[in-house]
Amino acid sequence: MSSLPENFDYVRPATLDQLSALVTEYQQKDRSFAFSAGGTDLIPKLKTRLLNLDSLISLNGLTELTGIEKHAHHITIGALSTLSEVADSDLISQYLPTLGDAARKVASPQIRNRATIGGNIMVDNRCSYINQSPINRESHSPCFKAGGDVCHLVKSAKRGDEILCQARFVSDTAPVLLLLDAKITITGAAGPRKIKLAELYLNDGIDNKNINSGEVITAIDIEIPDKCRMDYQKLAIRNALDFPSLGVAVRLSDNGVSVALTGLNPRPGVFQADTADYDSFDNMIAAICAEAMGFAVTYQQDFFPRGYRKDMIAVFIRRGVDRIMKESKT
Amino acid sequence: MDKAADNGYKIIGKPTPLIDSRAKVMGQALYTDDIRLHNPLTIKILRSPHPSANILSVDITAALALPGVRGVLTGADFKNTFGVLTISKDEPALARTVVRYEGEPVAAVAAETAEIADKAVELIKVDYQLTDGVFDSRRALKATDHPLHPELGRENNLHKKVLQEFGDIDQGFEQADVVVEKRFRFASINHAFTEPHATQVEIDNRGNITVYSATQVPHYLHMAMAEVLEIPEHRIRIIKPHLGGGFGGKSDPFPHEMIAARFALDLGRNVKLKFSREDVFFSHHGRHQTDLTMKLGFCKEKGITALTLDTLIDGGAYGSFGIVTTYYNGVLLQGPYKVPNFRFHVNRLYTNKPMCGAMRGHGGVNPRFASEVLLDMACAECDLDPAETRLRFILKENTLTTNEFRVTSVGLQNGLREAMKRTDWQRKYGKLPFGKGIGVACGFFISGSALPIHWNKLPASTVRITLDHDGGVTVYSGASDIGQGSDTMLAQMAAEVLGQPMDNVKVISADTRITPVDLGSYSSRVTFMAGNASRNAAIRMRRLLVEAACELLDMTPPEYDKPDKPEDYFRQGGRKPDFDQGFLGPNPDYADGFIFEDGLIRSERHNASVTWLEAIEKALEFQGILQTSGTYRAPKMGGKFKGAGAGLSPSYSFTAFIVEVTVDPETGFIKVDKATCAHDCGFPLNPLAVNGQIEGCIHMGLGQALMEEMVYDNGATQNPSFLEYKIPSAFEQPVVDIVPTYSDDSEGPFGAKEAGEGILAPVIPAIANAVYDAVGIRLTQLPMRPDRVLSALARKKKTREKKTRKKKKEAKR
Repeated sequence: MSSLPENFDYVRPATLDQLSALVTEYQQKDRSFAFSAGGTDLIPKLKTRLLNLDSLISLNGLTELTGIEKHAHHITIGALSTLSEVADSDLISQYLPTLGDAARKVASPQIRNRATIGGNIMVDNRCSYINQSPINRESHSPCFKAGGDVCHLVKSAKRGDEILCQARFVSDTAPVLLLLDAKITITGAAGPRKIKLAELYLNDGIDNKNINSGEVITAIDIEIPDKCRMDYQKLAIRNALDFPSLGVAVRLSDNGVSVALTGLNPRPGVFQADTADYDSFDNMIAAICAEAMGFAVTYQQDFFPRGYRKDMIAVFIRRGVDRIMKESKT
Repeated sequence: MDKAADNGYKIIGKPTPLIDSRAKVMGQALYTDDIRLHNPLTIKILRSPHPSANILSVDITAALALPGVRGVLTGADFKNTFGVLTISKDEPALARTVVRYEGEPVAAVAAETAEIADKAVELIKVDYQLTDGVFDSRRALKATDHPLHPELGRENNLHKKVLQEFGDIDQGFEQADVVVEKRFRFASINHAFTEPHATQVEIDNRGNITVYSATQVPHYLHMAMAEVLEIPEHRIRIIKPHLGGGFGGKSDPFPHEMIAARFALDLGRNVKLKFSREDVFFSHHGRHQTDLTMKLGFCKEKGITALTLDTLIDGGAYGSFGIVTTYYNGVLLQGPYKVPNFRFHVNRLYTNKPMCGAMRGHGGVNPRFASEVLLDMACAECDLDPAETRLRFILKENTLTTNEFRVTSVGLQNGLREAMKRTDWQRKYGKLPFGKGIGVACGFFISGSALPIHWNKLPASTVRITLDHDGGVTVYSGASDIGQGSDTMLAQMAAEVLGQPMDNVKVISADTRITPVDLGSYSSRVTFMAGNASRNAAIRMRRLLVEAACELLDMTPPEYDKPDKPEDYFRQGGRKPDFDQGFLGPNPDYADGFIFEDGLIRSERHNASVTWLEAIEKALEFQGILQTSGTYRAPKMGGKFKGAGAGLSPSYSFTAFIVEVTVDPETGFIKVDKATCAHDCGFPLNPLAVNGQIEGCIHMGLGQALMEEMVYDNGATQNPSFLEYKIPSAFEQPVVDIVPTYSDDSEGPFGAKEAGEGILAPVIPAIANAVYDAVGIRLTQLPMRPDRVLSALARKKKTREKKTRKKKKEAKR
């Protein structure tokens, strides 16, 4: 199946007010809908019939969601900024260079030209059993994420378990944003609200976003750090195209070290170690490596086996730390 | 080394852009799916979601009732099965009572639009009874109550077993200074060509069909289609449009081609069909998953003394080229070094997975990896330089291998020597810092299979050439240009012989109504065979024009030498033509005392000339049409034992690679920094095309070496997309250095041999050997994923620790 389904509407509101009216209308009529920005994650799901919609609401008409701006000590990134715009932005490379690095590591230039930063932090969790064609999904029986009653990764999983689905979180930009303590503005029926990005993510592979149906992220707000001593590394067999098998963001500050992980579990992992708690820097790094490795309950749903990905967490943290130290020396 | 300039050739030996490159770059080249037939129906195929099941019933009533649906086919609509090999016709166009792999076509719909066809496919109800599948070749070897092909009288799932033994194995191993043995495992990989399969069929009002199809083998498709459709071949015309890559993945007749033709005939309508990428992965036909154990005996003075291997290849559900693959897994180890005592045992198994078949380097790639790694190990144990050692033992020219392959030209020694010089081998090997490594490996390959798939005495290739009255040359050949540039090569042959510029030569190829038979683009046969045929047709044309020129100039036409009986002539590898016999043989000398250049045909001796057009006009007086043909057939050769024909080729290519890598011992990532290639393709007719093949082979080899793998979960293809099936991106391609490597093959056209496949195999073990040089581990499983590198490093560390502990203990005692 490689064609789009036929029977869905396509609408493109020009303002947030129009969007809000549309959402209200669809919710009242009980019409299923989804938002599309770059569409790079959504269109394949439509083509493989992972998603069935009455309406596709394009966000691309919402010009108020674009632009990267600096206000005093803050950078505000419109959610519709493409990953290419983030990667190429002078403001980002001056104040948040690691975010630009992470954006550049996503997929390919063509995809980065379409895909948005809002879409990247909202990207749906992936699993080798769900992101498949209908034939393959039929070959296995439908899994929890597909509305079925089985997990092909964790065969013992059953309804009522705390975590039903291990589909993994694959955003490259989120770990960096999490360590920057980014806040996101969400707009919906109840008006705009601002939350920490960390509060967006839940430990559920089926739907790991703590956001209500009909709400959209309009902007990402980051306080400019005094020194952006950060690093982001991505594990993928190729230097292009692939989702992260593991992504590790590291940040050093005077108070300690923090680490954020992606590509492993249903939600991103964030860890912190304070200098005050350790008698040496090396011990602190060793501790955060151990803690971060413990986070990985990765299942075999990737090119790389689970044990390897787990081992790479510590390797990447240490390398990240080394790189930051080297950079601050020069 | 630059021989092209010395020979005075005007066309060949010069880097020549492919004649269709402009059309391709400009987007004007029409691939199969670009062709617009009048009002075609669209065909969609229903594929089985189950790898192993009985089909209890197929209900097509709802699908047929859908407005816009014109026809539905099921397995019952096809009586005859087919297969590219006459001895292995086991595949139905549509599954009948059983499905044998996930994705197998079960029914097909032809409808007015793609959308309707899609909808109709969803309305077909198939009642499956699931059965236990066999997904593993070792398990498939065991006795079973449920063989995949009971209808062929097969009681088990062993499709083909080949066991050949030459010399005295025990004695061979006794003569060895070292004996090394290892088990190697290889994932199945896909061709990953750019253009997915596509077929369109046009029907005329007399019920004749023209089939446009993305195929490497129009001739075999022609024959298979006639048999499956039960109509004579003359009612079918196969045309291969521009084609976006094959690599063996389009070298079988396919079910979808039969389905499309059946619909056109039944409905009297034009039809079209194309694959998605996922369809390509479901159809597969790629390199066999392989599990082999090889043992190699090596003597410092004599080289390889004995080689044995035991191999299981996982064939998937049907035969395809599998019987040939089974043989090639053994016989292609007969070069590039002498193997005096040799035994191979290969079993091909049927399993409930998409079938495997031919893929670039067919059957020879995986055992080549094993033998080159073992040879490297033997060198290390004997403390010998692996490159120098290889140099010493590469086959000499004009030798017979142990299994009686006739090796004629060998030009690899110079190439390898030069590659060693360029890479600074002596200073690098064994001396680079930990993590950096350099490795070497060699290979060899056939220049076309000497024997046809369908046994007959017809030429393997025939080419027709016509001359227009205004002087234009047209070459007609059945050979399939699949992107490798065979049309350009055919034109070069004619242009060189007739002294014409390339622009003046047109090529019409791969159209079974117009072009004479060529067996197809597989086994690296086209340059050698169709090239010879084109050259010979051009020589005959030249002869007609010389005759006309002589008539105009009042001269006696030249007399041509005649060889003795063809058999003797072939054995000698001679070059003399025999015009009276209508037989020119391979690579004949066409010196006739005339020079064709600058629009003139000039007698060297009399310094008199006529113009090209004057000669043509005169020649036309005789026949009214200027048309000649040329042929190629392989000489009689080979042993008398069963299976002696497998791997038999009129000539062999030789390749050496030196590869430099960086291995990250913490992450296990292998980065291939540089690949230096010496490929003996005889005389390179078009260095631009040869270099392209080398770069492509490196890229493809890199994929198999580092990341490519078909992943199956209980028979379900888990990665049928270019996102999850990892082919290297441009970032991973190393720096490539191509060392010009020549030999003069007496039978190849102008001395040329193959350059499309043989290059691929040695690049993979060269990477593995470089990894050994870098970090001291022997990788025995492909792909060489980072995690496998780390595991091997951990094992090495453990063994070393054990050894030190043991030593310490001994010291205490």
